[in-house]
Amino acid sequence: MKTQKASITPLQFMFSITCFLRSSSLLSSFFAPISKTDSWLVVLIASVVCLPFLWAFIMLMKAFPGKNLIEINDAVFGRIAGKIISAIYLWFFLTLTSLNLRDLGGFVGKSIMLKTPQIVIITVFILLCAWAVSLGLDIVTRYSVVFVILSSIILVVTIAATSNHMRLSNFLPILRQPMKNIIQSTNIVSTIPFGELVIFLMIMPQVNIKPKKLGRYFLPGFFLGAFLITLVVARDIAILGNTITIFAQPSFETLRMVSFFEVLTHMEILFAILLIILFFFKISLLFYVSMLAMSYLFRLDSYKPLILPSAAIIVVYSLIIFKSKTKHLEVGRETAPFMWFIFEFLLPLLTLIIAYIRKLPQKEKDARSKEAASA
Amino acid sequence: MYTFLNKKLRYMLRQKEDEAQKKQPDNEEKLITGNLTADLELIREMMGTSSDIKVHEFKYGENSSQKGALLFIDGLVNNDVVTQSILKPLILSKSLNNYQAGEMKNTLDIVKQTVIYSGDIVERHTIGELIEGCLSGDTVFLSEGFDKALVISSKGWDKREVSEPQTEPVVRGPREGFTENFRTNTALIRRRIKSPHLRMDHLTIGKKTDTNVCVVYLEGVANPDIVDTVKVRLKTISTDSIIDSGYIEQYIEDHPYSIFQTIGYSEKPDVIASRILEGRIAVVVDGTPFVLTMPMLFVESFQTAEDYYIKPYFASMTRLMRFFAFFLTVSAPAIFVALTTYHQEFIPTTLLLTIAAAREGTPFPAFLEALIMVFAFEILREAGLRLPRPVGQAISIVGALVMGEAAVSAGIVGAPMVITIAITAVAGFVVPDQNDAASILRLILLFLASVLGAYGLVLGFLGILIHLASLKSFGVPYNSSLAFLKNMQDSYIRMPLWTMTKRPESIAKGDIQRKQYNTPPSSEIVNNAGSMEDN
Amino acid sequence: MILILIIGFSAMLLIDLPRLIKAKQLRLFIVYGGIYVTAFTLWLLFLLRIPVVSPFTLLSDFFKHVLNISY
Repeated sequence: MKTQKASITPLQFMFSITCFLRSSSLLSSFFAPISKTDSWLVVLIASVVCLPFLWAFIMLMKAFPGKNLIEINDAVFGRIAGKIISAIYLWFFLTLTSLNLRDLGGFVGKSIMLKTPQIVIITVFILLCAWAVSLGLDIVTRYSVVFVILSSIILVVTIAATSNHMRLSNFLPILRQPMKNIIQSTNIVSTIPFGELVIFLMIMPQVNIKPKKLGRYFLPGFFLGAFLITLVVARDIAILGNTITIFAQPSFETLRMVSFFEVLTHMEILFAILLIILFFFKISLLFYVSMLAMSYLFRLDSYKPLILPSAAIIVVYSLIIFKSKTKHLEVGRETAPFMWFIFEFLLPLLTLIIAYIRKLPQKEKDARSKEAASA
Repeated sequence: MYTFLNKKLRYMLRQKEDEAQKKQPDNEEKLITGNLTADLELIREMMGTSSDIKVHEFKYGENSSQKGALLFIDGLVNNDVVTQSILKPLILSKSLNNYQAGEMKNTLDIVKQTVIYSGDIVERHTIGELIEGCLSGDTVFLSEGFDKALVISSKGWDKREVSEPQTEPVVRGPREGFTENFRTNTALIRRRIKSPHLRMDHLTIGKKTDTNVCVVYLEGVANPDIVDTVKVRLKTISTDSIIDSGYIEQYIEDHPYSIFQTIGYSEKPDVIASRILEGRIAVVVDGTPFVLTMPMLFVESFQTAEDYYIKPYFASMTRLMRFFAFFLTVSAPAIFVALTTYHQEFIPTTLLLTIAAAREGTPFPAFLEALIMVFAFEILREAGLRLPRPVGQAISIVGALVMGEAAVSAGIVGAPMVITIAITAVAGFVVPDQNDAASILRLILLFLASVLGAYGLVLGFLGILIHLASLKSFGVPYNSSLAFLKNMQDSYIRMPLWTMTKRPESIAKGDIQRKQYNTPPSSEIVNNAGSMEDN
Repeated sequence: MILILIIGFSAMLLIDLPRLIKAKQLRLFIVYGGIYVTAFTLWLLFLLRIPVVSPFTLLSDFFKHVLNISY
């Protein structure tokens, strides 16, 4: 097959994780209406709950260095079962890409570009992402640091600018809700922003990092991202209070309250710009991962020729995937957490357990040390 | 499709013809025979009978028995050198045969070593080399009976004196600029870097122009792979003429189809010297004051020489302002069009009312207005460059004031649009190196903003970022130091000089550590300085 | 609308075909063809407003109604 050059620095890796999580922070409409004013606590709980699964990801990366998820599946489950599981993962990646694209199209179409048909918005965006992906992964992740810094600056500035609207009493009462809501919210947060980190298993071989130091870059990136999401949700709750349940995009409404010097009011255009930039990062990364999965699954040399028709499929998939936005929200809140739980957490955990049962990591180390000795 | 294939076939056939022709022996390969008249006939046949080619036959030696000839081109040689240092000692030499015993075997050696007053004499065998020397301004000395000739350096022609460069004025800093003379330029660089490791490798490029080209680098600091890359690419240039360094730039650049320059240039020796010291490679081309440097990064367009000669705070502020000015010049018309066409709710209310009132009487949509004004500005700029200087002043006043005012009162464009374009224009000159790229980007972003509003604008910027990330200049990523990954001391802000302890790692190899240590300037005071206080 | 669809897909073919032919791998050709045909049929069905059931909604309905796992 083709060899992937290790071309991403550890710093880019860490900030890619943060940027990825930060782009999901704009989707707080999935869990905010359920856990209402405790959403910030839910994010913190979810980040703790996810830690064992993240540890499983890191162990998988360490056990099979230089191999991405598809190759790990092949090695652990054997050729046929591995291919089937990889195909399921491929469908998972494609669906994620389409869902995110649909979110972007929905938001942009309803807030800042009211008269443009959604097809145009989505098609233009995916063409840009396709161009970035065809140039390689390095291009996509190179700007992760800049995006994180930019979004953090905007976050700090908006917190400062809306501090006169914040009321700490909006956070009370804490945890007076039925436990079911808290658990549901935690589940949603674990799967939608945090669980999608499973895609980093696919780009692992291209990161120029020693397996021992993986945890040192993965976990701080994750914590930074989780912290940023907590800040965003907390800011929204402090300003909007219980009305957070009725808005489709709480952050959008928050930024409506920002005004500088009574002249520059309604800075929600900042939010729209930030959302487009962050979603560009996320969708390009997801698109790249699905293209990589496809090329490995069919054992092709390079993913580049497949970009354009796959983009067409993703666009049409994102347009037909749901009949209406309420169906989307219903699925997102009620059944998606369980479905994604299987893909994002159960399957990798299973892979890890079977790998250890079959003593594969040890065989890998022996093979590699033999190679190093003979070379 | 068919014409494309046709052209390809014809090009391949023409290449084969050229190769076949090369194998035929040229007149230039002919060796010098001892027969003076025959040689001079051959030279006259090859160079024609131009009036500036001078051939002077004379007799020298003991009893004026030896026949010799001097060949030079009037206007390229220093007449004093020809008469005083070459002709006079030859004609006055009476005692050539006294040295026959000893090391000097024949008269030509005696002439070369004891008679002619010159520090740069070479012996040559072929007619082609003689003509080459002659065309470069050297004097050729042929003698009857010898199959070698002497080529004596005697260059002297009228040249421009070293003066302040027109394109890069500074407030503080040296005001010397390169000239069109090759030796002057290399000397200006040598004077600033007095290291024995400075290498100047010479090449001649261009089949008809034989332009002198010099690759200048600091051995031990410049990455040897990049040096070899540059030399290989220069050697594969096969063209008739090299008139300016811009030709060479377009033949060896990495991304010929991109709008951004990946090879830098400068007209000032101090800028070139500091770039060479960072590990870059300079290419000096005869006949032009613009010296190329490679590899080039995007941030270099935002760095001027003056930034390093003044204190860091003001330099950092100016640097940030330059980035903002570039952003402004590229996107100001696009932002205006996007806001007024699609997102009127984001303009502050009072401003919105004035803009609406101004656009009340104008017939065109915002996009067409912007397009008209952008093209009017481009025409003005081009006209201002080409006009002779006395007329230029009048035209600029006419253009700027009258056209703007008249256009507004005639109702063709609105006043806010004129102001936007004025800001765009002025901001464009803050970063002059990227002016051509900025003009094209301006149009692209304008088009995107008019079609898709703010969404299109953001997508356009993302597209520019992606394109920048994909460019590489001689192996070095073009947007190094922009993306906060490493080496951030000299990009958006300029940190003090004593913090820049390492050369850029992607460019230099070898001597990465500059002889600078990360300590602020010492505040030591000797003895009693400052102890006398005023009471 | 169908005209735009046809123009778009032929542009896609025009851009990709030279590279595919240069690569000369049968497997690549087959995979590309498969994806191309799938995309074309899905778009056609979408433009003709024939409701296509997405596997995602199917799966989620499966989870909700058959397995009864939902909140």
